[in-house]
Amino acid sequence: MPDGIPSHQENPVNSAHYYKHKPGPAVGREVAKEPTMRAGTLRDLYLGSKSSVSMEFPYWYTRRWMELEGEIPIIRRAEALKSAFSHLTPVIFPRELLVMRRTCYLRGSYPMPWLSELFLLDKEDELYREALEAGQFSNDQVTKMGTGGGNVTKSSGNVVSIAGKFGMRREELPILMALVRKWEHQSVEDIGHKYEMLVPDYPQKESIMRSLICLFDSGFTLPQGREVINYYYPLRYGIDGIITWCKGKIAEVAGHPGMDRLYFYQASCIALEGIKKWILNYAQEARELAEKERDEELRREYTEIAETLTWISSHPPRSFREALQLCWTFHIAVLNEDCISGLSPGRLGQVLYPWWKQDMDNGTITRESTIELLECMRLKFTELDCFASTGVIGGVLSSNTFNNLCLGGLDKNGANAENELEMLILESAMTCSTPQPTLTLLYDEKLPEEFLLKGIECTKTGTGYPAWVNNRVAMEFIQNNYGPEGMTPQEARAWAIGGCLETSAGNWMPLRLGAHTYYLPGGAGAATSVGVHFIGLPKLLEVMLFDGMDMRTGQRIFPPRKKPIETYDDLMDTFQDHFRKTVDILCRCNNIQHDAWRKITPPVINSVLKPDCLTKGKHIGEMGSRYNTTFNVEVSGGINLVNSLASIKKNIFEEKNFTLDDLRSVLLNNFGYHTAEETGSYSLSDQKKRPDASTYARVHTLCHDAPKYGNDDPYVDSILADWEDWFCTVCHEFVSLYEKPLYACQISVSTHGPMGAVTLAGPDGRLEGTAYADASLSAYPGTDRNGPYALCNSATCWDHAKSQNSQLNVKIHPSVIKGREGARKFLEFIRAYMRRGGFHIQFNVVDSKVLREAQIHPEHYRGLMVRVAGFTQYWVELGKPIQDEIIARTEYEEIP
Amino acid sequence: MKMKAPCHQDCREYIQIDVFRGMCRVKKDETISDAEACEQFLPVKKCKYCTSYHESDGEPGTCRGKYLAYPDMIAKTCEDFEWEVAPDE
Repeated sequence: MPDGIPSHQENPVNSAHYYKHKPGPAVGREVAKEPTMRAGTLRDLYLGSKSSVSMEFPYWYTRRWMELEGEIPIIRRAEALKSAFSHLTPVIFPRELLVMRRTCYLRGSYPMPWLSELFLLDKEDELYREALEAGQFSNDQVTKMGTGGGNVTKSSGNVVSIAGKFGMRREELPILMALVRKWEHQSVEDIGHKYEMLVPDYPQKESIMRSLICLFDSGFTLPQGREVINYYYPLRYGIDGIITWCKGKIAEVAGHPGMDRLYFYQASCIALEGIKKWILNYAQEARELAEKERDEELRREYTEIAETLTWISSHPPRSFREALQLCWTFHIAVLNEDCISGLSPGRLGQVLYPWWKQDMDNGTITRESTIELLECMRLKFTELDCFASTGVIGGVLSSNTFNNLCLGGLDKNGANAENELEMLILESAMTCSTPQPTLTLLYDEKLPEEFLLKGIECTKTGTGYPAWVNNRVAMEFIQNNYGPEGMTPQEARAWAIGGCLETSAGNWMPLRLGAHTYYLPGGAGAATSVGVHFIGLPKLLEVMLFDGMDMRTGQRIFPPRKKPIETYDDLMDTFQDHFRKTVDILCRCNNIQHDAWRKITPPVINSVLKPDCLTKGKHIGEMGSRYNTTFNVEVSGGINLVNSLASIKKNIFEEKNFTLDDLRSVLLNNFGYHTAEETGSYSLSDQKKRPDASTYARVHTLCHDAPKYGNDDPYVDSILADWEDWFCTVCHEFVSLYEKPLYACQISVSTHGPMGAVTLAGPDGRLEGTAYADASLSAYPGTDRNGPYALCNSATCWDHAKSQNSQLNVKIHPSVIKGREGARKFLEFIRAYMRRGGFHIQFNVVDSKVLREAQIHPEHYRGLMVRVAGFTQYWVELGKPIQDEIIARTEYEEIP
Repeated sequence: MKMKAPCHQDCREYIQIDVFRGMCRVKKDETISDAEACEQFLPVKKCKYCTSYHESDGEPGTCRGKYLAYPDMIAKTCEDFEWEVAPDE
């Protein structure tokens, strides 16, 4: 037994329950497939590449922006974008079928100092120090980046490491610093900060950020994303068609009231011209390569690329390949416009089906060639990096970009929407397993068994996808949330996941191709997961228990209570009061930041795509989208909160086993253990006791033995149900920039790592500095002792349709779901969860012994992927806290 | 032309994979970006090879005397690029 895990003799807590892993040699995954030779070659190229920063885009953007001082902001923005796109160096690798990338590097990204520049400053810089004081970098300080894979964690030679992840050529550093200086006091971050300080109780916001009760600001970090893109207009009209349409609107609105429409249409034309030029630069590059190439096959491929790009630079696509290339081009065009995580392609298989069906019918494509193209698509999505500060890219995103592709669900008329192309998407996700795009299966009772079993086969590969999501629950949430904006039951069916697990509004758009009319689903809402970004619920509880003090930093966050907490209701009232105050101040400050964002860097390209911006003549920041009730309150650590409340209620107020003061004392002393930072281990396993541990053993045991979520125990499940009822309702009290109520969002991404790092030991027995439970409905590792069905019963004790999402990760040993019988049992388990109203469930099919081995010898596991929260990531690119947490998760060895 | 010790990343046949390495289109193998270029070297359009680029005392330099610029920026797509010394094709 590793040092620090309490033995049965020393401590009544039965550790066998906590860290039970199947004995014997490591077991591999049952399903393993290989990619085509082309995709295999390109994947190897990717796996050997590093995250790299290019200054081209920011250089040309800034140069043009500075030239146009005094111009109307959205025109200035569009001109800057046009200049940047027009000047990107085209790079095409041999054997690529789909081309174009964000920068000249395979895995390229770049800073956007017009949005946020302070984290790039020298640490001695006055502005940097001011931002530090304001709590803007608190998250950076506790984040641990993954040290392997494509991360450039250290500077070496002519390469400088930025944010512990990105490599930049040393010769580009002077221009980066020069551009940063140019954006000082002009960026969204700086302007937003200037005005958020006018909020009357602003100092409290700073103390909340410093304590890391809240993980990060919203308006200048990831202002767009967690949404579904809409490819319809380019697919239907082509770029020239949209430009022509916009020019017609310009003539219509020029000189009439509502003049902002004029500028928006003009800006749209300008930005689209930049995208055209960008595509044509790639076409020219492909032509030049074809001319020089001696290999006949490569020459033919370059020629086809040139022809494809030349055509789509103006016209709507004629084939599946052209349609896919056009979708990809616009996808990265939007990603180049803003700092975005979670721009999801949505139901791409349903969007592209008309072209694929046409090509299949006329014999110009085969299933095999489709798979090859889809594999190439997977590699393109996997290339994507999002440039952000250490705290955001490592602490929140774990380097993922959350491009979620959805399958299944219902069509416009309520029939099963699954199609043959989606089966091939699943197949290509098995043959060419990569983190992106992750897949989500929109489970509906109408979906055919064959399709569901294909999903099961894919889950068995251990890639963590598809996630299984309840179509009916999502539709109910969508309709309730967007009903006041006109959402109909029919339109609710067009929803999809934006980002890792953000239920997002969609719509249906008609497309005539050949003799058929299709209704294409696509995103119709603004960015979600903007507003209040991750409140650490266990941290907030800790601060409440210490009468408003953050004991880690020694700072007061909330005024002291005037009288002691005497009852459980007293305690809950105080907690809820603190929660309200926290959301209130964060909501107002973030509204200001987002207002600065929409004024300084209005979204142009995404607005061109998103219904109904073009018809309204308004960009997304002016509520041009059809649906705008998209600001939310994100929380992390909900299960630790619930377990802690159960422990306090039972031990202190009901059985009076110890007092609140006793509890405070043991929490401050971490139950007699060394902290996670001291041991270098960030889950509850592998912790080390201090010599005085016995002093705290009794209370620790009582905390451990208090009822725990995940066991179908009504005592603790009722606390969860009450919490969810209150939380999902209270969010509506707060109002977004767009004068819409906020709503509840319950995912963890990677926040349970850094938020756990700043949280003392908890009343649930969790130790200081260790990660919270992942997701929002996963049990705390090792505490779910009654099997997976009990876990599901606990998870569904409340109505999931009240929240944008709920999230349940389950780790299953590969042997449990082996063979066809195992597959069916597995599907029945998922089906049972969905039928009970569960919204989301996903699986790590992995033997923990493999993960432990991979932690010791990462060099042998470059391609190993695991499911973290709503995303799959390469193991070697995860920070140790998240690795430890995944290893510690309960590994189910049986599905009854 | 300021052609001091060209390396692979200065060559037009070099494809950048990342900040450390790339691929040679002629030899079809991977190369280190900072390694010395081979005998078949032909410069890629970069600011440092352009008539409009001027070094200044401190980095970065300038383009046409009015814009900031840096020597190693690829200028393949710059409409104003002019070779300071045309390379021998």
